[in-house]
Amino acid sequence: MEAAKLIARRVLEEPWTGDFDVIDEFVAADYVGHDSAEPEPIRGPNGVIEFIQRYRSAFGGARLTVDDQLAEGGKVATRWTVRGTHTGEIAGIGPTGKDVTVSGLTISRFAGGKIVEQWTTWDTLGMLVQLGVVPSSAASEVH
Amino acid sequence: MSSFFTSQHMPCAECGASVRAGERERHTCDPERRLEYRIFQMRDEVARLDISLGAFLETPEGRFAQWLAERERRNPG
Repeated sequence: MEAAKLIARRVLEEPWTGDFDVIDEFVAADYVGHDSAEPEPIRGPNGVIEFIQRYRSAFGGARLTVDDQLAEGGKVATRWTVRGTHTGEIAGIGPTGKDVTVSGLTISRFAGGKIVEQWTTWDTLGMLVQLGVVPSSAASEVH
Repeated sequence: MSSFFTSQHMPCAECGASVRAGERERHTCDPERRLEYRIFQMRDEVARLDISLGAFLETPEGRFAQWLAERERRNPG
């Protein structure tokens, strides 16, 4: 399962640097992705690329780093953190210039050496609080 | 309006840097980051200034100002 963990790590990390080759290499043509913030499943390698491009265009210089991984029974669980600067529109929110740090968990299911399905939950509310569109408690604010 | 919603990280109001909850008291702004953040907040104003400056330079008064500036640059003092 070490190889699967490495593939999951690469598929999560590398596209955020603008290198999408890893998606064509390791995401199955019939891939289905379930994201807690998406109403519809993400389908196929192109769906994954479009999804990441949407966030990359909103968060300049954003990078995903893997914090931890566990593997069992053909699945890899990855805990990750994305950091970026909000320089483009996302969910109707105009650019704020704020740095945002968001964490999440992705479970990747493998078949035939490729990722065929993923389930991702991430701190959407935390992102909205950091962007200032959801009121936060005064104690949590910096300065 | 108060709320119980909080986040482990919050952007600094002065410089926009993402600061972890436990590090808020120790955070100090990087001057370069603070300047970038402020300019970013003023980007619409800066864009408007560029447009209005361009328009001014096309007016007779603006053309004269350019001519005068060029003359003074060539003959300082």
